[in-house]
Amino acid sequence: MDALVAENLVKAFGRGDKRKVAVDGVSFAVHDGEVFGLLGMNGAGKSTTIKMCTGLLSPDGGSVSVFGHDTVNDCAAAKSLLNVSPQETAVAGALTVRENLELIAEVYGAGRSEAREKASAMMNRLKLEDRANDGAKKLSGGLMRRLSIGMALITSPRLVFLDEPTLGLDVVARRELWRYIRETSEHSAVVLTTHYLEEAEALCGRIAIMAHGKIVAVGSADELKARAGTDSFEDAFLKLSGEETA
Amino acid sequence: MKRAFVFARRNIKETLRSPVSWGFGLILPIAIFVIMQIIVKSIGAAASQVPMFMAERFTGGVAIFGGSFLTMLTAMNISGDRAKSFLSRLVASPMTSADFIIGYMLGILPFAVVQNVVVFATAMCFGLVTVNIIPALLFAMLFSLLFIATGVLLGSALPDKSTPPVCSAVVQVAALLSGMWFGLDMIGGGFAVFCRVLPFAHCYDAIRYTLVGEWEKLWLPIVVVIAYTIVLFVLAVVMFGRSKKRA
Repeated sequence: MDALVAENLVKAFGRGDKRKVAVDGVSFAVHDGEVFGLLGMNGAGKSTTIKMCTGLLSPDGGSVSVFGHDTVNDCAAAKSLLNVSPQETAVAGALTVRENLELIAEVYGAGRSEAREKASAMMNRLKLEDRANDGAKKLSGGLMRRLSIGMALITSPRLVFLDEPTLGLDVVARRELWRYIRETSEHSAVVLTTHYLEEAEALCGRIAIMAHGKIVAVGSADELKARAGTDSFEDAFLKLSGEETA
Repeated sequence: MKRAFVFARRNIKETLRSPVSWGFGLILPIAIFVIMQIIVKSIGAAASQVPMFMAERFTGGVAIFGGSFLTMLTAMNISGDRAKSFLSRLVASPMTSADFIIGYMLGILPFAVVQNVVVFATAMCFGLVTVNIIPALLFAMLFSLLFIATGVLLGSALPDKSTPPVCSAVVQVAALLSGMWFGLDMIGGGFAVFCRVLPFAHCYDAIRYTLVGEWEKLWLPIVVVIAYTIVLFVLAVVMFGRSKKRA
């Protein structure tokens, strides 16, 4: 069974003359255990698509199912299987690193002792143990992002959305996060949005390119390069998204 | 409900660990109360000219003034969560709207209890002696729900940066129009009528009447405040539902 199936998603904002279609008939499927990249220029419709897939927005048309559970009609079951790391480092600033992790584990149904064990394991995995009792707002940008990703992974989601997880990180921190993402994909499906094309090429089994609210191409990095007739993935992305300059 | 309590625990920590909570929600109201009581004691017999500052009247005013900061703290917590996408993370989880509303409201209640207990204990230190302190304290805690519901409403409706100034205005309006600084009966006219259309003067009156044992006057302020609380709570639930969709 596919981890995620989006069928003919449509979302528009505004009314009358100001109505703007942000997502226009988007369909794709994410297989269990793959890293699926969603690329596009700013305003291409990626974030709106992600919000519909995670139940944050109701689609105007079409449907999304997570392991067969519709995100509108069977919302609770779908949400229990997924987790999200938003683009901003969405942590509770007044809580410690441990408390942030335990909070999310408990929100997804873990008991207090189970949450504590899961938090310890996640801090060990993400090398955050020595910061366990530090307030989240005191962490550096890289550590805060690592915590944010840890909060997305602590529930062992079968489908995880990582929205620009390495934005603003230095090359060492980025490579470290790549390793976590690869490890995660061993037992979960991952939907990754990023503006770093080398990141998508390195991590994603398949990549969908969005432009003007539509998916214009789907395939592996090599397939997309072949389809565009280019040697570099960046050139392929620009060509397929219709942004190629002379 | 378990998720609501988990979320409430987080909000309690956010509130109790914030210096803003203690500074504005507790120290400021207590400082104002203490200063006014020192002034009242220092002017001796002339204090009868300013009865609104005597402990049995001013206690209710300070409880309302402190309570209005619950609006600010609740609203800032919610709008802050919305601004930094923390709310998006939780909205994507299995939490329901009821979990959020209950969690935010329960999250500020312990602070409201501490705040009211400290206000009344301070008043006792400055000569408030009556057998009706406990019922007055319970009414003050009940009225905290009015301010918390207002906080959920404003925190859901306002952008992050607009929340502090708008809530500051609510604090000023609550204090000014409650009658804690001047007797509304003394002013009379349209202004007094306007003040009594809003709930703040009724909160103040209910605590004042309770402290002096004027029970027969109590029903109108109680009914008005409870009606306002219910309406604001419904509006808060609706507005929070909308803000979730913008998370």
